[in-house]
Amino acid sequence: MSLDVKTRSKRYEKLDFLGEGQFATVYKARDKLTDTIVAIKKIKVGHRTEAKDGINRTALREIKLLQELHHSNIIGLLDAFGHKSNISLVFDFMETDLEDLKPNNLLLDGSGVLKLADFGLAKAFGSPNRVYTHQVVTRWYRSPELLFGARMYGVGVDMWAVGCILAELLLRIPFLAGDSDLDQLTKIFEALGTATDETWPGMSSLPDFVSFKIFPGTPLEHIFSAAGDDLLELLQGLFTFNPSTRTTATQALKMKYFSNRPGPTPGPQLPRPNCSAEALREKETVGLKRKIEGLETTVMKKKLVF
Amino acid sequence: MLLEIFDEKLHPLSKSEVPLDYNQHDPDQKQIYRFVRTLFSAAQLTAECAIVALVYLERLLTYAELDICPGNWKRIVLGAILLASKVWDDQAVWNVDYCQILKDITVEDMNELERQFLELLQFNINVPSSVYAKYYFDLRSLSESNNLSFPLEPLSREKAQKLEAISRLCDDKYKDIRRAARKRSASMDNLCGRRWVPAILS
Repeated sequence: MSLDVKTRSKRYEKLDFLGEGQFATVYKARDKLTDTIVAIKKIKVGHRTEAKDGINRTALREIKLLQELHHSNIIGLLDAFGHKSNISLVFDFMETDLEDLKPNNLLLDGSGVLKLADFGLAKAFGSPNRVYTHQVVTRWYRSPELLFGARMYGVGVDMWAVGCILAELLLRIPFLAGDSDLDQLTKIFEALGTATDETWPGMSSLPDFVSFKIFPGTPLEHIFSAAGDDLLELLQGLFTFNPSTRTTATQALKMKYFSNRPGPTPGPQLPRPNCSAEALREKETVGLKRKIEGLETTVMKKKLVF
Repeated sequence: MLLEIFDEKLHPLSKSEVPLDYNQHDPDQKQIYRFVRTLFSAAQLTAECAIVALVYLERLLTYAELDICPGNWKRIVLGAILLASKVWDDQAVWNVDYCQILKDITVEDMNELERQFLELLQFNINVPSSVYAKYYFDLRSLSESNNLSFPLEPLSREKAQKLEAISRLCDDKYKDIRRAARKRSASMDNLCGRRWVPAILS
């Protein structure tokens, strides 16, 4: 058996250092068995914690979740192996963003298909888990109910995060970048207007509720001045304070924004890093062609201008 | 095959001397129960954790082609419980906490036990719901055939109120979604409209 363990870690040949996050180091490697390029995420040895708790529990939870979930938009876990007290996870290699282990880890593969990564760790932070209570995690994507200390919450927290990510895509900077939990709530209420017990019944009975100054908020169309009505409607739904009336994923997908033109760019035509100039030019022509075709058949909807 | 890490002679769980015949006599059920109960009550582990631990234990025996025997059962069971709780319970029990329950063990020993257990499982730690259900019902049948019945408990007033509160919460939450869904299609269950079915308290 120990032979088997050795073969497992020797199966990969380290090629390149890709980056480093708070909890892991990522390498590019070659799988000698299949001759494919993979990304290996080596969980950092956690000093004192490791001595008292052995193998990093959030890494174990991520492994468990990734073994359960198989979806074309979720990064695939190919293998996991241990070496001494280290633990390494082997993933499909992604062309973009792997060096940035931020919580909203959205990766694009070689064909422009979006893959979610790192959610295993994210889940564990949301759990009452004493290991990480003192750790600072980026809070910019946290929903107001989580910030008010809600113990029972649901998929609404993810939809809030989706709203923040969408807003960030539009603004090119994080939308609500608080530097403490209180500041986060202030930023949220400054932008969207302070929530009241009318707009959000039950808010004041949440465990960590504190009342805030009444901000009127800025209309979304002033913040996202280039966004069309359909996109504003989507953002409005995602930034609903009351988690039980906040737009769900199913509801969101049925909203006009997702059926109105222009349609999404097919994955393979998305710009990617390390793309040669010729390839990019080629793509531009294809993109232009599609736009012209679109013009011929339908009236163009509002375009985003940045 | 006997793996060293699980061998009680090589890695004793207590300071008292390990008898020469430690690997000779099968433990009786009471002894096993006492060992497991000590861990579960001290670390406040859940019943679900016990089922997952059993899944891990059987997986280990299969993957490592290992026999569970009088000299290694305790450490195999301990490793399975430690891992099950770590992977599945939100309330964290640290490896070092087990040293308070079994006074004479070291945290280094627990860490090494965990690491080898994981590697032998080939990091295959997920338990799909179907596997969980199979073990659950197998355990029920096993207890029945051994006259250790675990009858489905009658619903207590307290439990019923708790369940009702939980379901009301979920109900409120999905009310809007369900209303929207009913416009497009309706299942036979909903033909007579929304019904409120309270739990019956006797």
